[in-house]
Amino acid sequence: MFYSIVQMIDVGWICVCAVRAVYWLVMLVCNFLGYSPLWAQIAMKKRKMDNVRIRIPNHLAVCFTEKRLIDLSEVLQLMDSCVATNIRQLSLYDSFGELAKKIGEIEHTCRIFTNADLYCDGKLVHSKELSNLHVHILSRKMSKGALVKVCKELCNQDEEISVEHITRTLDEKFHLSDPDFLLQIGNVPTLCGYPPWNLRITEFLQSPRLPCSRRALDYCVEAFSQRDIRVGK
Amino acid sequence: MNPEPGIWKRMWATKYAMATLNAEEEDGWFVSQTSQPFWQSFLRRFIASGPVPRHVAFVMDGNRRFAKTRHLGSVIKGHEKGFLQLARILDWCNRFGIQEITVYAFSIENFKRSEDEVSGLMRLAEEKFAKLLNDDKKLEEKRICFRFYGNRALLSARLQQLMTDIEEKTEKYENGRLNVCMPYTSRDEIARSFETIRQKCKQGKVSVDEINESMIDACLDSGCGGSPPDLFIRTSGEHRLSDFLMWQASDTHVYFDDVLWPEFGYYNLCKAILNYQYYRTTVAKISTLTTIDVDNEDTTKWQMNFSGNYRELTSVKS
Repeated sequence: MFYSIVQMIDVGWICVCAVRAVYWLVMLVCNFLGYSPLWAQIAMKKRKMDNVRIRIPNHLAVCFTEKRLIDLSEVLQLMDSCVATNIRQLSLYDSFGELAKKIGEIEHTCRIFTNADLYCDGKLVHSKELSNLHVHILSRKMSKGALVKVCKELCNQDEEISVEHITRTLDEKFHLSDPDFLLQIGNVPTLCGYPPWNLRITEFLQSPRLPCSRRALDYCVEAFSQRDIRVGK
Repeated sequence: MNPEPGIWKRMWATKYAMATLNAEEEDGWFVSQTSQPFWQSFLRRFIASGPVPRHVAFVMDGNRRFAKTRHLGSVIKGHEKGFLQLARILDWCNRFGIQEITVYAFSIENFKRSEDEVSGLMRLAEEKFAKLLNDDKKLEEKRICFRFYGNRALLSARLQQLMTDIEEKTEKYENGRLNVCMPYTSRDEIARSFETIRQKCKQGKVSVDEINESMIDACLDSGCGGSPPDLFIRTSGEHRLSDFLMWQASDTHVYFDDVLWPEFGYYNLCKAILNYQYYRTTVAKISTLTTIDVDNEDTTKWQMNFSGNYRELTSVKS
């Protein structure tokens, strides 16, 4: 009897040692690879967020890098989440042209549910009085092609072309403005030709899926709030 | 207590990044070709067996934070360390067979920084450019073509002269190309390109209807023999373009690394190239779709013929 108790303590002690060794090894690997364990990450995030003031991006842009991730119902849900989060402008850039094809359905939803103005490739599709969100559906045509059109227009004038002229003409002609925050949806690390002029100080965040729910969007807004924007200084 | 996450990795990377260099090498643009550790050669052979980017663009961010965290005393010391790291990275890229490198050395927006820092940076640039110009032996041995992108009118006359002399001296070199962006912003570059086209239209050399992407490409600073980057790397954990190569990199593989520029070691470069190899075909497919869609209106290709200060825009009908 006594012998078996001693044996059990021995086994228990060995198990405790094994668990401690595995824990130590995991910590070692995590530290080496730069990944902090989950609980440390949560604690660090909480501490960080206590010191960070939440900043809502005025203009949010979304760039789809994978065709399979373009889902109309998710896009419509995102529009609702943007209204709830107080985002004023949402630009949805889809280099595959899927959203531009479904502009009729998006317009229909805007008419019934969302209080939003809708633009497709710089043209006003639908407008509502007292709208609280501007939605821009952008395709490849708004990439370098828009800048070519601006160049043609400015070359007809006698005034010397400056940065301000181009910015103003892009805004007036195609309603293209600088997003504060751009979400790259998908795993492919490219901008897929997003209108290049407007990415001067835009912050990027890569996300495997569209953060259509309010909670997922809040998580992205938190990430944006933590960014340090200096503009050369 | 656990140490700060990733600290061992950073110490390891920094230790190996700071491979031994002699005093002369530490000041210059070129480091020795004979001192690569065995593990670097091994990794290089393994990675270079796959596709390697032809052109890599770097945003060298994090020099000031490096100076602060290492208590170097002055931000200029951080920029000096950054330059030293650039020389090493040029050597590594050369060994990988990367043909063209573009570095963001100074933004027009950086003129907003303190007078001490701006004048210190200009002094550092003058010193490094003068050293490069006088290093005939190394220039002839490496045969790297140097080009400067940006609005040079904002720089001192001496610096402008040094840049022109370096460009003229290395114009015919064909072993590789280094583009130094100083003082540069992409918007300024595009606006200058538009203005060049407007002048050509006014002179009757081209018509407004002929303007297309290819013509704007040819009139950019990169139009004189440069190519769009295959890989865009930004260090220091910032995830933005900061007005750098926005036109040229609109379809490029963009890679962000959390390490500061002076800590960007061989291991980090290898990781970036491996990431490029992994996504290369997908990124290429997306950019090809863009080209097909946009170019269907006008297929005329334009190129800028150049020699010294001479520039001539010519069309190549396809």
